[in-house]
Amino acid sequence: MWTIPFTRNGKFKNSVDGPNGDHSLIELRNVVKNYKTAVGDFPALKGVDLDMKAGEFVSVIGKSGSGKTTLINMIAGIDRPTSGEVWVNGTAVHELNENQMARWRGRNLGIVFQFFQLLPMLSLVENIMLPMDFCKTFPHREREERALHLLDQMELADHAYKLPSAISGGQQQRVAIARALANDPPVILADEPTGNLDSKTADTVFELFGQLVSEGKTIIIVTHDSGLAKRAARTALIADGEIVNEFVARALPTLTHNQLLKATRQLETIKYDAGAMILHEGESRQNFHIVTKGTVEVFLQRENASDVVVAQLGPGKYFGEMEYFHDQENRASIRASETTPVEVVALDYDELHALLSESEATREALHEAAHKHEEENIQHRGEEK
Amino acid sequence: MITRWKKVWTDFWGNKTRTFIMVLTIMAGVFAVGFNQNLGLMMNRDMDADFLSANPSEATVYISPIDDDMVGIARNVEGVDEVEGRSDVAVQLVQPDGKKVPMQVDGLKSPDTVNVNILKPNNPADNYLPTLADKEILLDRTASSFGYQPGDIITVELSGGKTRQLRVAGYVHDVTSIPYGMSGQATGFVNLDTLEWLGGSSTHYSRLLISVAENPTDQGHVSDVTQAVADRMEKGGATIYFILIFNPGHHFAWETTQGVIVVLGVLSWLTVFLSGFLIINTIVSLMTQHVKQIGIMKAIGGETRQLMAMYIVLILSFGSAAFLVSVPLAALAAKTVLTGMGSYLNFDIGPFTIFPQTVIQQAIVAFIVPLVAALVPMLNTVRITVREALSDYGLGREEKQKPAKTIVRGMGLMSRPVRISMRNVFRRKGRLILTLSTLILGGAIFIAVMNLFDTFDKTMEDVEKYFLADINVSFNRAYRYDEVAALTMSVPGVKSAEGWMILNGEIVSADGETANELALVAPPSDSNLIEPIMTDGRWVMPGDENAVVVGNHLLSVRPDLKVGDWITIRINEKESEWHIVGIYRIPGNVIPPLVYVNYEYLSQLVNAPGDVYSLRIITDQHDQASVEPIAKQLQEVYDANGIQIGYVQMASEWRAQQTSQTDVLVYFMLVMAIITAIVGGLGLMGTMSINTLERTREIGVMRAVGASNMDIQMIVLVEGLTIGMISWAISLLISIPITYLLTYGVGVAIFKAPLGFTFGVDGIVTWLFGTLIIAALASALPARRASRLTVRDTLAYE
Repeated sequence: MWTIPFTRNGKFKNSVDGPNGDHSLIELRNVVKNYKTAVGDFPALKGVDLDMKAGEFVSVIGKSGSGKTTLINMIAGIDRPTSGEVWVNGTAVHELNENQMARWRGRNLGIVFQFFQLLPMLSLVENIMLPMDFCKTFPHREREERALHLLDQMELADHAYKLPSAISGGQQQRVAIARALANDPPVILADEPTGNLDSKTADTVFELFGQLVSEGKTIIIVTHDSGLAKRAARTALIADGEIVNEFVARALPTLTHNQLLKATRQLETIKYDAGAMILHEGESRQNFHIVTKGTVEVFLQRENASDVVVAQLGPGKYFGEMEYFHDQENRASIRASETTPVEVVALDYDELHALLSESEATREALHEAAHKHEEENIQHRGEEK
Repeated sequence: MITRWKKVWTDFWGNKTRTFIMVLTIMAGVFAVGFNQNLGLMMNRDMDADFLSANPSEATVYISPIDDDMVGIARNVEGVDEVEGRSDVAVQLVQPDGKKVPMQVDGLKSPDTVNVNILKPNNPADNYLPTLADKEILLDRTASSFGYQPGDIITVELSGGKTRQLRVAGYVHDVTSIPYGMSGQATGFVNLDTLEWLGGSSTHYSRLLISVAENPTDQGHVSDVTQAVADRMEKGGATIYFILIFNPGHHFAWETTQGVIVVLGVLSWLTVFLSGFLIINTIVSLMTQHVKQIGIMKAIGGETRQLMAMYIVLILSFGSAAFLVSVPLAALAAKTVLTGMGSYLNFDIGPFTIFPQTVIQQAIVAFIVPLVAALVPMLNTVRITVREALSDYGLGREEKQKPAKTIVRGMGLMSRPVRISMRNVFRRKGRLILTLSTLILGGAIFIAVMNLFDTFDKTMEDVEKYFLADINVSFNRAYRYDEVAALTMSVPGVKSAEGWMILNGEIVSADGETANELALVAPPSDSNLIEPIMTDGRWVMPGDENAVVVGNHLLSVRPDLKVGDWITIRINEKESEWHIVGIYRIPGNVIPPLVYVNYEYLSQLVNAPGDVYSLRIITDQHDQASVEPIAKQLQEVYDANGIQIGYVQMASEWRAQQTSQTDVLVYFMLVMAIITAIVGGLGLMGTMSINTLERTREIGVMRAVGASNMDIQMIVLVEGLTIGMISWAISLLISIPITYLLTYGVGVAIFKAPLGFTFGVDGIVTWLFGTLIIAALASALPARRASRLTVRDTLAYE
């Protein structure tokens, strides 16, 4: 539906194009942000680590006050970390002064706000031209043409010379997106971009974001609407100033944010080389595992000592649930796939027990999964016989 | 146009109310400085140019009749540039309604052969003077208020009571004479034959007009040269009656106008200072409104220096508008006022001029002052981080400190909206201080100016203590007191009449070499029409014989005199010894110095017991409406009985005459005080606007919980009124030193001595009402705007 036809350079400096590149476009390293308040320091971010790759569409979700806007402000350079590092497109954002920040932001980031934040005294086309003026990214004579083209892409060319007050909220947000694209930045940040829009208009905006991602832009949106957040390729959940392990969130979606955070804090990360054995059938175990990187293979031992792979589990999938509900003895063997190394996070059964005692829904979901996997195993074993 | 400059333009032009206030704020200072500068420069240029072009005399010697030969001798005295003899007659101009106005008629050989105090055409554009035939009179143009046209016939009454008819030949401009409006005496010019017909002399002169060759403004030099002329005349057998030297080399009003310029200068720069405060306030207000926009611009790549440049251009745009309007406006206003002053003070106005030095000063006030004033608030705002700019704007930011407990405790009895108002007053302390500073300074200046008026009034009251009568009558010669008193008492409404004697004399120095002019004023020893202000010794008592009370003006030329001294006074060529028994003080300029003696003794001394030169009359009713018909009737009675009167003057006329010079100053300062009050009001309006803007969401919340339009308006109004009242209270204190400064400066500039400090209630009460009105007006618009906001508007406000 929308295509952005011409760009300034459009290339990322320190990243490989596309979502599968190895290098991160955005990196947050142990970012801490404390706000001084009348009653003392308030920690908004508590040592956040986060990587985002070029071309990703990431949604940051969390409850009100969880720190999601602070997180995005760190990336945008709107706010500075108390400690830690923020790297965006190869630039140490945390080291820039206010002026360098403004210049860098104008050229590298497009920002979309919840309340659109168009300058009320400028026409729509002038609002879009303003970043180009500040950053001198396009020759003067091309700026209006580009602004009009962007408006045309947003299907708002007919309103180009109107003031923001003369158009609807949804239209204003599309103009704000056009303004964010004015300098052709590689990254678009959007803070609650649909928070002030009806659901139909919100859909349209998300459609637009999806289109931009397909054209190579990296988009990070902050939202509290988990339904819309799911339309992003990746979701970063933030709770109480900390990032919840996204694979845990994916594996155990019925836990509350705080329960997920509690689980995240208990996790132990374990790495395996490609093809390495992770668990042997029949051995006793104490941990529930969630795959975070690579693929693990679940296999059953044949009578002739050969094995049969009954399942391949990618990131966000888990194993160890059957054992939790039964005798804590492995019902199948698990190894890293031959092609890639594997990373898993392990949650002690005692911790899992504590979580499940607080979340009946999760207990039921896990129990059902365990039951289903048990039946699948039985079925496989029956077939083998 | 590059988009960011388009934004600057829309900021400037899009919000016309704000631009108007901003431009008006800057204009106040630019106009005040320009007006004062232009007025001063044009006045000094035109007054001096017109005055000096008349080859003015620096001194006038009143002398017994002398002829052309004696004038020739005087002309040859060293240091003299030109001497001209003049003879004159004192007549009464009888107006159609019967009212008589004293008029001095000078005799001239021809209007265009005058060499000293040269007459000029009434209209400066004309190059010729009207001719003067027999029985024709040229009137000084300041007498044009009588309405006579060339060709009209006027009637004058001679000292003997005879009347003569003269044809008005036209008007002339005599820049060296004190205008009729101020002196109460008209001036006319006739040829020598006509002068003789009116009872004057066509061959002998009674006045010598002396123009010195060098240093015309050096009082000492002028005095020496004049004394040399006087000595030479005395050697030639003439008698010197009196020497008048007043502000030599300058127009008679020069000192007053310098005072006006000095005071206006101080006030205009105070206005600039005030305007600077207001600019800070308005810029803070503007920047507060723009915080979010600045945040957005920074978020999309705007650098601090780019934003700074935008706001500097915006400020300069306000300054440019103020400059473009104020430069011609100040020049035109100065020219208009100067035209009025020229007419009032009797000098011709030169061409309209824009003075480069004024324009430069105005440019500094229009461009540099706003930039300097705005620099800190601009820097503070454009350097704000994006997060600060975009976070939670619309709700009043939380105070760092809680309101003082005492204030909170004291609010217990107030209604809730009033309590909110009170708290709001102190929420933004920095802004409150700026607003208060503007209002306080404006109020203090206003009160100080009002105090100056009171000081003038007090000064006039002090002067009036020496002139307590309801009607003063001056006779052209001595009359028997019994005779004139009886006539006077025959007029209904007259309560009492005192006969006074006034004689010219000279105080002779101890070595007998020099003498200083003085006038002996002799009221009856039991007079109750004088309440002197004594600074030492006592007043003259019944039974005193050679007792004299000298005043501050004599002491200024003879500082060695003190109570107990014996002095020699020459009266009618006879010397007599006098004992100083007291020293009095009278404000203002008195020429020559007056000394007070007993009527009984003086009249004996000059062998004229029972003779009087003037009557001081008290009427039953003292208001002007009651006194005026009595004065008219007295004139008729004196005329009917052949009494030659110099003038019949009511106290109100005397007072108007006395205050005519200070009135100029008073009105100018009143204008400046009003400008400062307006500037203060603008400051408060700006503050109230931004306060309500900042609290838009709070207003929404209050509306949502049931606050009515009236409640919202009251909260804003009470806040404004409270700020006004606080400023009023503090301005009372600040006005004290300003009043001291003003009364001292004006006293020294105009009266040659500091005026007494007066702190009247007029200023306090007027400013109290002024503050309340200004505060109410300044809060009304923001209050109305606040009350019109809907809950939806306010809670959605971002």
